[in-house]
Amino acid sequence: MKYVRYIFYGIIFAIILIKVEAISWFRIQEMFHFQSFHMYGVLFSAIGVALIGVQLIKGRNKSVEESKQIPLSKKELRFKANLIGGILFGLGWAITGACPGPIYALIGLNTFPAVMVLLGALLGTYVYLSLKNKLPN
Amino acid sequence: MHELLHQLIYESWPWYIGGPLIGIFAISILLLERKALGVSSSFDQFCAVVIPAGEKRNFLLKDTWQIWFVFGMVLGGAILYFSGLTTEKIAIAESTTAILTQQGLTDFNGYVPSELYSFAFPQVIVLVIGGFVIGFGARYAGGCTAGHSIMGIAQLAPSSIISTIGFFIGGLFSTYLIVPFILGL
Repeated sequence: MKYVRYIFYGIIFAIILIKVEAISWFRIQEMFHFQSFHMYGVLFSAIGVALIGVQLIKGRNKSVEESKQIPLSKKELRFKANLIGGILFGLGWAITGACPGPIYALIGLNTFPAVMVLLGALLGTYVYLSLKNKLPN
Repeated sequence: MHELLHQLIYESWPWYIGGPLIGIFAISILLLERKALGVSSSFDQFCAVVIPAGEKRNFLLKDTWQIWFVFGMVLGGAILYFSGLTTEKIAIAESTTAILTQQGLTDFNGYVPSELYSFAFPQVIVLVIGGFVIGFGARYAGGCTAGHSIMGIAQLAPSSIISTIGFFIGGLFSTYLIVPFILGL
């Protein structure tokens, strides 16, 4: 049954991203040209609400026993990997106008060439995984 | 009230509705499922299906929930598409339209330009290469816009702040130097 829940969450997340136009190549270009507040508003308000939520969870975690705590783990800092990987990701983000979530949503929206972006992303992941131990961290 | 509901169903949402909903969504799955929002891990999970476990696979597959999650994302897109609740044209700033027109774009309909999202050569190569650096970069950086820029920054994680700075350095480079070239192809 949990798979049905995961699928349901995916449906909800895609609908939000599509409705707020975060999956639009045009919106991403507008954002990188700093010509509208729209995408920054989406990012900042999403971060703001999640930040408040995280603080509330942190407070609650202190007052309950360990088994009932909500796990909050920051991704490990790997300066070179974060920066170089981030730059590479950004290059592709502006070209395709899609980050990973939108790739899937676009395929659903019958924009089938997005399948080629997904194919490239899986290839990129495969190559990364093969080179993982040789890359600077 | 009725008018607002009508607008939410048939039209695109302003940032102050969609943005906070993304934040509420991320916190909800954390509370309900104890899982951190992220999408690019699905790439690892798909690769793990292809690469057999053992010596060749130098990473651990902890979870596969994102495979179901992204399947849902495709479904979500399809639901909006087939119910016709999508937007025909994105109302971007006129100044952006002017720049893109100057760079050679003519079709501004849909969520993405048909001139780029095409199976024709050389566009299809551009899409695969773009996807390649997205996949490689996201996994190298340890996450994408969802996992790092939203969930990670919300936890004030240094790794996520650095990665997001990287996203923008790369994005600005592409926007000013690569996209104009691609639109001219």
